[in-house]
Amino acid sequence: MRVLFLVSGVYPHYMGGVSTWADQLIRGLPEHEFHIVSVVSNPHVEVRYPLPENVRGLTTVPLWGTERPEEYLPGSFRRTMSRVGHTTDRAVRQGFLSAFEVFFRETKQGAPHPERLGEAAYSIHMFLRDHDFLATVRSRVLWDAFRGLLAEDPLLSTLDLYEGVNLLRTLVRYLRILAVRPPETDLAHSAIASVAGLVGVLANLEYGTPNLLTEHGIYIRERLLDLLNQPLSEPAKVFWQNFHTSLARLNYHYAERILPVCSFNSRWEAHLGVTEDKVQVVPNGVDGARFRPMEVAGAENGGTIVAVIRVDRLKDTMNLIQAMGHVNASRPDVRCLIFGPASDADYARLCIRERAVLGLESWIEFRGFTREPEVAYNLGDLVVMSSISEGFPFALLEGMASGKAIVATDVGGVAEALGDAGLLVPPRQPKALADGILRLLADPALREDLGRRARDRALVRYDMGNFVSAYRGAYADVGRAS
Amino acid sequence: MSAPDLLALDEVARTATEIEPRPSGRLEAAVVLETIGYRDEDARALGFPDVFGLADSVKEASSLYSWDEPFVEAPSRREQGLTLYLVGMFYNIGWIVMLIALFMGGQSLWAAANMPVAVSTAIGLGVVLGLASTGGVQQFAAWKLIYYRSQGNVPLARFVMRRSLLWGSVVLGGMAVLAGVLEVAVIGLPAPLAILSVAFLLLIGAYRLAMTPVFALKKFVALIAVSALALASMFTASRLLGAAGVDRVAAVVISQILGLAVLLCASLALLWSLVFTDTKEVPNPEEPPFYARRELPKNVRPPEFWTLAYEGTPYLVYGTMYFVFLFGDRLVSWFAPGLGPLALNYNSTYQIGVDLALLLLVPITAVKFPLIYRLADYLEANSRASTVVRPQAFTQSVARFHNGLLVRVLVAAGTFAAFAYLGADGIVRIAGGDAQSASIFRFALVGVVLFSVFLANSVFAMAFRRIRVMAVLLVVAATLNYALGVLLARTVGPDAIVLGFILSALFLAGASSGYILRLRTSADFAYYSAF
Repeated sequence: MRVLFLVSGVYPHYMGGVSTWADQLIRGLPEHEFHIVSVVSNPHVEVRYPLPENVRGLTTVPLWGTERPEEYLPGSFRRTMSRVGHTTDRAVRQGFLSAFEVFFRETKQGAPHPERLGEAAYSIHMFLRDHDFLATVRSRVLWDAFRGLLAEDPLLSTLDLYEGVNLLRTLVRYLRILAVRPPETDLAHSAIASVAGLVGVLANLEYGTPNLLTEHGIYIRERLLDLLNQPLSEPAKVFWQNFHTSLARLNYHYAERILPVCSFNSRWEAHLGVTEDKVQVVPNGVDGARFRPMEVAGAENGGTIVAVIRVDRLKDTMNLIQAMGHVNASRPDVRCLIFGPASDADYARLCIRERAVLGLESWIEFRGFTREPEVAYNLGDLVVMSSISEGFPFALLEGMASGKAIVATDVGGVAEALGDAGLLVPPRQPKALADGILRLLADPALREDLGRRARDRALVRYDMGNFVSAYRGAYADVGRAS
Repeated sequence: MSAPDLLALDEVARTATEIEPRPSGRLEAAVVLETIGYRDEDARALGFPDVFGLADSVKEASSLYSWDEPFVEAPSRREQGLTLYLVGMFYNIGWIVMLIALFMGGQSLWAAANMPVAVSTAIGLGVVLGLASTGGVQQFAAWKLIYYRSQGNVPLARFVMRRSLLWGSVVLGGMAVLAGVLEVAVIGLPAPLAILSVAFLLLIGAYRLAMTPVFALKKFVALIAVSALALASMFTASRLLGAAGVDRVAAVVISQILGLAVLLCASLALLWSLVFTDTKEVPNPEEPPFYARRELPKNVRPPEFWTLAYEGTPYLVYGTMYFVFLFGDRLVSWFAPGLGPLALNYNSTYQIGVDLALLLLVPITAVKFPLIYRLADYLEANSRASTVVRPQAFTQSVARFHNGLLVRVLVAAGTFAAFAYLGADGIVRIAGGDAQSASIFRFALVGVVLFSVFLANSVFAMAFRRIRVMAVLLVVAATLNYALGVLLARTVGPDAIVLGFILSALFLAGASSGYILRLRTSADFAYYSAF
């Protein structure tokens, strides 16, 4: 089967959990051929995973950092010149504007009619086959139409010019994806309900290609979190919330099957109108041979906790540090090893300062990124996760497969993954996290029991083979070659 | 809802507003609630079906606890006018240094007083063709170099520079062959002088290409240092050769070539260090040891070069035609009869007049620079003061800015020109010119004032990415300059060639002003489409 595999900001250009998943999936299904469309924010990327033989094509689509989409899309100079020649104000008015207006009206409302949005996107795509993208989006005709669209909306009409200009400029950056001509395949599999999935929608409307959608985090939920930190006015923020909601709805609408990595995610999908019969939860898989209980040098029994987490706000490392303050008050012999890099230097400095304020320099060690997480897990008596937001975290599965007792915050798909094989505590409550840690440290039998159950659960439910088989089945069910 | 339930809801809302003071919809409120640990079970305990139901009520209740953050005005960046003026001057520092050297020491790297006309013609042709054949590539490379550098995309900045150097070298090589053949076969230059001409063409062209990052990244200190080093080498060599009894003309030419070679080597070293050398990151001592700076990609796939070249064509044309236009009337003057034995001969009388008048551009550029420097901030501030559906205030502010720019440039140019006009005889005499040169100088001042209006309009248009029209205007103006020069030389006389320069500069000033006046009427669109 030929599969159009759609990703955004991950495989094969960036390392990380979803990239690991994608690599495992493609390598696990050697009988299928993959053509990858990778949406990246900027062309300043390189391929960081060696591509397996069954990857037959890679189209990289930078949304920013380029002048013309053609810089990275296949096509001849003659063809581009022909498109430039065809792109007059009249052509834009007659062939582009009505589709853009539908697209804009739908997205600003959160896509109440996803099929209308899909058709508008397809019409824009068809226009861009014969017309120049840059000339179209820089045209006076579009600007005037955009101002008209804002004027008809009581909220958006209050946007100042600066934000209005940035809004349209950003919007047309996203529209670049519609200049991508999807290859004809038997299945379009998107790993995110975002702009990358639009290529699958185009393939569906062009060739009838069935769509499959995997959700790791929930795209719209992550965008909403991201928008919390953006310095936007109320109208702009509302627009972008609805825009991203529209993309998610559009992806959901065209997907024949949606495969979230946990049931927690499916709540959001259901809330955005996805019916239960479309959803099949396929948890991530873990390599039980690599992650297993083992004797490692440096391990000290009885008083070591390990966290394999990035030092950042979403992982709420501060929560863990403060919990260690509580732990230290009753058990001054306990040390905490944190493995993982920090991507935000300011936050990392805050963590360092908090550790100093609590006088825990000797008890909390930041060990940075490790290439041997399987060793890291086995350095501790228990494994801790302190996040405020998670999908179905690989780090949790790896800790479980390593046979460690786990204390984790109850966020995202963590409760589902862990079941009764660990302790759950509320997020952002250091005292509760400390209580969980102290309870397990005080009870070696419970630790051992939870660790054993965690490994059993990981091997039975989250074995890599299970996850690959589930996708093999889904491809067979949904793909056109079935 | 009972009172205890309301209290509980208020507590939830208060906590939620600590993260987002004004949740703008149920989905955003739901995200915030989940972030602080609320699950469907917690929502049900409060009497709601799920987190989304709770989110609706939290959104309503949160209005009690949200507040508008006080607006903190960013401190305005009030650069000292003098500093900006000097920075503006530095754009022309290479040119100024060469002229000072010429006046003070009798020679610069590509000009010298009292040289045989055939030598001056050979060197002059090499200089003109070297500048014209690389001006476009330099402009294109600078455009993309700044673009990629601003994104931190070092691999693609290097890619663009490599390609520009490659294509620039090809153009330069082609031009060298063509010039050599034409100079011997058509102009009648002896072969050694044609070789000299080609040597100057190659040295100056290569220097201009190598200096692209210095100009693009505004490395003015490096520019001064390189120019000073080259001049010092030239003067030292010139003195040594003179002391060794070498003929003055040979000493000048040899020392110029040596100076240019030093200039080129230093420029290549700068090019290497600015673009092709990996900068060593100095670790911040306050940075935690586990803080991992993102490993920047090195094997970045380059874009299709032809798309870049297509998009950069206006820059290529503008950069090339700038020199083609400026040298138009001067080259036409070389065809005047009685100047020398060749088919065209260096016309020192005309050159002195026009070259000196062009010096007026230096202080005018400096006057313009502080205004243009603030344009981006000005546009942002004024665009925030208009709504997108009623942009009239913004349009008026853009018109005000442009008016201010033109007034400032015209007042400055007019004042400098008036002083120059009054002191024309003395100024021209210092440069070795006669009364005829002084007359040409006075006329040329008018052309330079008009040309400075075009340059002001150009830089304004470039802020809105409207370089294409300016490039086209330069093509037309260059054609006019040549055509009118030839026509006037034949009908009125060689001295009237300068009128061709004035008329073509008038065209540039008028057409560019007309274009900007039109652009100003839809400044909101111009602002949007400048990406």
